[in-house]
Amino acid sequence: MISEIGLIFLILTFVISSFSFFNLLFVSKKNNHTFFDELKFSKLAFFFTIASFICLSYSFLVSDFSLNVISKNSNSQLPLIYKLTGVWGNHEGSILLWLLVMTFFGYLFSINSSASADFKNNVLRIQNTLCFLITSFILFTSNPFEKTFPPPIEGADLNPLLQDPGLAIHPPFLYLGYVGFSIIYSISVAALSEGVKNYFIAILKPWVFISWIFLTCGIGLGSWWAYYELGWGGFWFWDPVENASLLPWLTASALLHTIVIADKKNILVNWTILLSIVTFILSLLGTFLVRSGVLVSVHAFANDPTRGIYILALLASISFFGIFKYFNNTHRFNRPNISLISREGMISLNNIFMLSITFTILIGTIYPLFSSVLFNSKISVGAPFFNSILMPIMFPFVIGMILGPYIKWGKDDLILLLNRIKVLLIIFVLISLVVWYLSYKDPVLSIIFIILGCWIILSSVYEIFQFVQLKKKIPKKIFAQVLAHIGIGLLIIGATGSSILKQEKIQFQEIGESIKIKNFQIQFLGVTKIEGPNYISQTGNFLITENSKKLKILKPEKRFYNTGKQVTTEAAIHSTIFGDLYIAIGDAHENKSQWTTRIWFNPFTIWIWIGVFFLAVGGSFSFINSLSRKR
Amino acid sequence: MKFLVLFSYLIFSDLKAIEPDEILDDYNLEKIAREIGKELRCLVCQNEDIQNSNADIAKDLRKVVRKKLTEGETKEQIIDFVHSKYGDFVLFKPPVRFDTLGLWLLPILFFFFLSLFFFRKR
Amino acid sequence: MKYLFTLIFLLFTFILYEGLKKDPRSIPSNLISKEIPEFSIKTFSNSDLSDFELKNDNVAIINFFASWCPPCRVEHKQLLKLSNDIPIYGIAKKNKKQDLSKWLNELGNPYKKIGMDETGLLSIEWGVYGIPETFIVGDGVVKYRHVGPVMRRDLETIKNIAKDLQ
Repeated sequence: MISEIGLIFLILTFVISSFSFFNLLFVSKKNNHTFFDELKFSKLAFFFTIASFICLSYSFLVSDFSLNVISKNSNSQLPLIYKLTGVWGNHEGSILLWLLVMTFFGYLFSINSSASADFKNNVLRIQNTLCFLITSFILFTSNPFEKTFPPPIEGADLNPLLQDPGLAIHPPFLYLGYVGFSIIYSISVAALSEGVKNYFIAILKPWVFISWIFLTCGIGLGSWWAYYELGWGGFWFWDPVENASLLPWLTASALLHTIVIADKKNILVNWTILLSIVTFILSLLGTFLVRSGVLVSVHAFANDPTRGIYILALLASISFFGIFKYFNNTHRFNRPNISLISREGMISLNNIFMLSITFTILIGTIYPLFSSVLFNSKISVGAPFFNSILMPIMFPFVIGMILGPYIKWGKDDLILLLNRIKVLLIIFVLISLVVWYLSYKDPVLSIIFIILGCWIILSSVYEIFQFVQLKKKIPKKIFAQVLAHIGIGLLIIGATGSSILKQEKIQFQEIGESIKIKNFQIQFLGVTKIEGPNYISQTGNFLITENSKKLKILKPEKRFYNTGKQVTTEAAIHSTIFGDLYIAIGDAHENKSQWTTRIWFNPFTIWIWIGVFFLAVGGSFSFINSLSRKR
Repeated sequence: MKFLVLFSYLIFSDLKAIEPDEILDDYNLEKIAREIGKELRCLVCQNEDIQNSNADIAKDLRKVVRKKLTEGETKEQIIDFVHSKYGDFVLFKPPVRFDTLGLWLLPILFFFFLSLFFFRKR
Repeated sequence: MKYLFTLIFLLFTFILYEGLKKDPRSIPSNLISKEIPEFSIKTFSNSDLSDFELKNDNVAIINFFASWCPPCRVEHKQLLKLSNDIPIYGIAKKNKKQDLSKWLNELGNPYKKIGMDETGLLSIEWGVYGIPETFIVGDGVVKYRHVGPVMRRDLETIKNIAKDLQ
């Protein structure tokens, strides 16, 4: 019963948003607010969608196995929290969440933006049309309310890997970011129809920041989960799906930088608009790659070919519409006249690098598809390719990032600049010597990257220091930039530590045996069998001693779900600011007196997550700043 | 969205990767073995290298790599051997060839195109 | 610019569309049209099997299998049928002898000879990534590879290729 109501609400969303679609296609743009009140449509679409979503969640909570998705992705034994998060643990439910976020952003825009009523109407017409397209996709190819008959008595389980708090909150964050870009697209396309003025940039700004913050958190949560759940301490795998989330993040990061100069100096305005459109297109492209099964990576989703074709049609029409509008309304490529040694120049340089990285990752991700279609050859592109192309780019990129904030607007001189920051340069030399002295035995690459990371952090701190020295108040936007850059610096240090400097001890460890890694002694106390709500766990007990001081007992687990059919590893991690002690337990040998244990010391890993936190906080400062400026 | 892909790890998530008895005693050879392992793709897995996969084929390949290393073959020889048996799909870093030219060249071309767009004097 | 964009756009869409029809998981064998790898291996009945023996046959089928592999059980019936027309050599991967003999007693033996690939090294020489895999060899050259169990619908293809070779 509840599920039927949910379906009706979804159909209502479809009907309401279809008005906007027809309005966009057939009705002339002017003076049609009386019937086609897009603000009202947005509100209604949001309320209908949330009602539909609540119905689906309710059905999940009460384990209504007459619904196909629920019988396949949930189970009555599941803990309550995972029954709820199971709503988006499958294709159909997650697309409904996607739609919910999309209508939510439309609704937020309708009540919050300072734009004129006319402009709001134009933006929401496009946003609602996007909602219409997604709703039709849901209804025609991925209906979560589809029934199965006869209803099974018990559901198959939610994938055990998804039964984890980190992963439970990861998708909503990711979608808030991904789909938040839809409103940016809508604003940009609407602005194009009216002729671009930088008035629109101010409207665009907060939406860019808020979506970027969510996407940053989403990606961060995802890699954090991968780190502790996959059992060998990696956090980024250059998997097509990860790349798909990174692409819009990169263009949005480029956008964060240009939107400042577009707003302030009225340059690169067209470019900013184009970037906004491209960012959303990349979000959609990511969705296509993930959901259609064209790349090896995503076989988890049922590869229904009609779905793939449908998303491709959506992707093609939305991209074409956006880019076509762009070319139609900006008469020529307004090439900016920018000198390299200037703040604008540095921000342009940032964009060149950011977009080149984006393009490289894009090409790397889809080239296997290209070569198989064009040349009928099967190739793979993975981490070694990305590393070999992206590593060299990092050096000039980071140097630009360090110098950028110290360079003046308009035109600057390199000699004068270096003179201005000579204290900073001396600090750079000193810190490099210190780092080199402390780690000269490590691989050269790691030393270089850690030095670069330190440079970024120090140069950012020095920026703040200058304000303090002059007893000036620190502007919010400087603070935001400094925090975000420190975040990147921390990220570089953390990533270097946990990839290049990793130490490992893999062995058959006897019960009672101690293993030494770094300053830690790890004594294996044995394995206990523990029964969880819907799994059985083999929990290892390891006594950790640091410099002969007892610290704690770490308990890595191996969990058996569904009577042992599915197994997950739960690593146990002892985090310190210098690095993580990371233990995973494997199989038993020799009559359970020996177990395979994998022990790692991952230097500086915690700084990855702290870096992501800094990025998010920095973004939040920009967001607040962009809101307050308007009033 | 990553979480969806990581379904795939499930199949092999039982035990990650290399077992203690596979590791070579010679530290330097083991280091090269790992470098090789990271460049080769586990063919039946989603997107894992053979170093970090528990699939049967990955295990066998790891053994072959180590066997050949102890017999004195170089990194290049071993990668060439596996490449000759399993084709391009096994290499995570594709060879530079006519059909992969775009992969290597397009990013560079794109970089120059953008630089020109931003900085060419009018 | 506009036209260039449209062109790139159409090309892109076309490739993605074509890509939808392809199966990203099918991997072609790199041994097709190449001579079979040199090898020498002990057989189930303690004799020897080497590449020379395979080259003697005008046409031969090499089937990589194991008694512990469920899909191999599925294809067994088809192999029995094929063995009437074409000699089939089996390579048992990481298989214990007693398991194998039990298996053969139960299901029948379609193989002319069975090589025991205890380490899995021979499978790698042949570029095998998962069993069962089936190769057709003509005059010592690999002509065709089939991945996964040989089903009834595959018999036609295999017989035709073999016929062309004879």
